[in-house]
Amino acid sequence: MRANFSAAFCLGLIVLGGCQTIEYGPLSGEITPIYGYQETPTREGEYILLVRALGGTPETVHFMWDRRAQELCGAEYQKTLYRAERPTTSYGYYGGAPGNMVLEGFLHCGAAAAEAPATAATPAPAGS
Amino acid sequence: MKLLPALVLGSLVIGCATVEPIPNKRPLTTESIQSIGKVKVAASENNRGVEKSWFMTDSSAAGAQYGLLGALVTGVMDAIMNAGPSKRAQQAANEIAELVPADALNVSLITALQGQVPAADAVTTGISINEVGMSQKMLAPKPVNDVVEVSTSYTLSEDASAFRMIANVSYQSSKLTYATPYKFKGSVPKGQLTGPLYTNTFTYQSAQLPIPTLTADLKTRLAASIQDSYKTETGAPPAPDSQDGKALAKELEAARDEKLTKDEIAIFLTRNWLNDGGALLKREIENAHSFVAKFLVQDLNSSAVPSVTGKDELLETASNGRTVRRVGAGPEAGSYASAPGNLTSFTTYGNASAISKVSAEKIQKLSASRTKSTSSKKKKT
Repeated sequence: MRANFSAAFCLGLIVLGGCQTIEYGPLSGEITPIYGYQETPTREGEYILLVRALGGTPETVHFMWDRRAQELCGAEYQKTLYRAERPTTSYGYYGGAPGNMVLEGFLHCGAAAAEAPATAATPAPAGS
Repeated sequence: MKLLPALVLGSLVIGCATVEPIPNKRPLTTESIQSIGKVKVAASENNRGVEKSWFMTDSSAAGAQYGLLGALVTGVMDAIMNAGPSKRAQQAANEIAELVPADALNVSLITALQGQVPAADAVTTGISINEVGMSQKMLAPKPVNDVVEVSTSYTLSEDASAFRMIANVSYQSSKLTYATPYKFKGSVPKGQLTGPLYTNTFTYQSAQLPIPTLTADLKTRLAASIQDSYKTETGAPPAPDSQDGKALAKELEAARDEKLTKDEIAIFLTRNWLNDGGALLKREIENAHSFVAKFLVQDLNSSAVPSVTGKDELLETASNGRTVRRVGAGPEAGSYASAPGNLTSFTTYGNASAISKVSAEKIQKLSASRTKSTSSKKKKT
């Protein structure tokens, strides 16, 4: 009886372990998080921050980007997003579907605006 | 018993065949830059115009397990599922082509490139543009020596909330040969032994249009627009039992629900791009071409060798948040990307794109004339 209980307990652990997911964490971790982040330092206090989501809503992906930014920089930081997309994934012979949401941008810790190497008077964007 | 050595040998061969990742970009060397000096730029005439992307559905895998009958059923299902999005994408491309035809894209690109030609008396160093022309690659597909060739593509996203331009640039010389700047563990791969001296890609993403919210009025307009898109050439709706009739019924049913799909959003946003004679789209196209022209000249004069493990470099930040960066990592390392600030929604570009009827006819004509000239050349020889 005791042996059966132990076996069932172990099996339960294995099953639960297999299903283990975390909501938020690094993309390089052992468990793939629903909202995974990855940052690449560029200079002191500056990063390229990427969040990849396995599901969820666009708002939550933005929230998670800010969450990681706060963890890296504290309350004050400047963000310049440059990529918000769902790259196409292929299936079957010719099928395609939107992939996971990816949000990426430059993160500059501190209150002051990010100092760009060169600033140009780019024409106003459409829709602005 | 003989299987094991075969497997070992096989895995060794596969191991040897692994290609080391390198960036797609081919930068010029300092010597090449000095040697090239003044150069002609030729824009490849764009024949496709602004394309409208969409997602193509494939359920053949599900039907395959039921044999021929399953394949037939899923084939019909796919045709019905894909009919609506494909039709609407083509309709969007048609609407765009009326106001912004492919010729307008070509003129705009040429104008932007001409803007980079220095004054006749200007003192220049390195590479500068001295002439801008256009070529029709469908008739003369071979690369032209000693000319910087620029080919472009323009796509509206699945929901038409964003526009993307990609410019591929290459330069091949009659005097200079390409020597790969990339390091390989073993021998240099064949693909790196020949080909153009310079290649790079420039991608421009437009600002995102706000996504409309679903209202009763929007639903009515959506249904009307779907019905419009299914009208035959005589203006009559399709027969209810025809494939188009079934697809129309399915789409109208979907339009009445409480969800606004990306495909449905595109119907409205395409028109936003085209308001006021297509002013918004034309402005973004001009911005895209200015970006290519400016950074192309800069990049031609750069001998920096990118790495697949590098870091993105911010080159420019505009007051509206738009950035221009040099991609730092992966196969796109060294390419240039101009992206808007204030990104909110997540853009999708589908796996298929529709072109306008006008563009399709032009391509058909060019293709026919190419076949004709090829066969007459063969006859002569």
